[in-house]
Amino acid sequence: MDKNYIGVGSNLLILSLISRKDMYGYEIIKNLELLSENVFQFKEGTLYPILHRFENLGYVKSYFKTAENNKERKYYQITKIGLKQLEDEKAQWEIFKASVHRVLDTHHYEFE
Amino acid sequence: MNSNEFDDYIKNVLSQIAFVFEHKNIKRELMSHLLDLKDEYAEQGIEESELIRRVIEDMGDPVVTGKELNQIHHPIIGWLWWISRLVVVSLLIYNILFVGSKFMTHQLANRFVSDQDFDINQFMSGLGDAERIAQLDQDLDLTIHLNDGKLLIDRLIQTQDGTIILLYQEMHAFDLFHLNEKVFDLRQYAQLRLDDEVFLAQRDGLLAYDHWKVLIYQSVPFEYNHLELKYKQVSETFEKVLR
Repeated sequence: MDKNYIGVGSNLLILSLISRKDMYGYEIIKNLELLSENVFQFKEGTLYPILHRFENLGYVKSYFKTAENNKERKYYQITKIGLKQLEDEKAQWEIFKASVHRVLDTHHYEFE
Repeated sequence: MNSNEFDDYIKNVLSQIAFVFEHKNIKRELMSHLLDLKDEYAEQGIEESELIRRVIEDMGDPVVTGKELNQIHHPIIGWLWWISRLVVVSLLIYNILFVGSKFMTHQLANRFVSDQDFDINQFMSGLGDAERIAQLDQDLDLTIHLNDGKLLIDRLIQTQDGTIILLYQEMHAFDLFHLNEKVFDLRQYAQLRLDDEVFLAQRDGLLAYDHWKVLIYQSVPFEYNHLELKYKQVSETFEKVLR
């Protein structure tokens, strides 16, 4: 899939996942793959800059948690600001989606 | 070993990040991800030697990742915080040095000035115009305990013309550096009792010699049986027999 499309929606996708459940980086990547049926495949190197930027902006808060098998993971939790941002992103996506469809579906053109 | 390549990968990422204070957390996060990936491939039955390579490949270019993270963990804010800490530490060190140097001087004075260094002639010449010859020069080494410290009466000098000179040191608790000089005024209130007579110290003239303070009593008799230093002022009192 063309990488440009991914750029458009990545904030939305990641925030959306985190809003449902606190997640760590690896978990986010795996869930994206599963839910999109492997269409969205994030490289780890792309994900972490996004997550750290989210934290800087206050969209998420992170904490370390050690699992039963002694594995330590850094979890990300969405904040109130993050939820607001998620709503904004969803709205933007709806506008984008609608606009694309309008251009694709309109068969009657002004400039002909 | 296995973890070496993972460490190398992380090191490459961190090398691009100027804000060193986040390095530890970033390392923890990346390492846990690398290990999770390794487990995933191991479950798929991938060979040990191939595991590491796959994982590193999956993670992408460490330098690129590092550069992007560097953009986010902005050095400027980091250095501002670091500089403010530096200022605090510098102030602390300055205080320690400043206080410490006074303390050191005090200790050094005690250590290096011994009785052998005491030049009686030089001392005498500092006393004034009148010719004075020491008739008696005696080490006393007497300690008088005060409410908050002690007096060390080190030496007694008696001159031919009837002057008694006491060389002493004061040590007050919580005032080792003698910042509170006015607290204890021996000169004003310390009486010298020779037998039945009482003498008050000279108010001016030589006040200190080297690290000693000086008490001078003029026109005292040469002969006496009993010599006592007496101080009575507010909460502090002492009577000490000197001879």
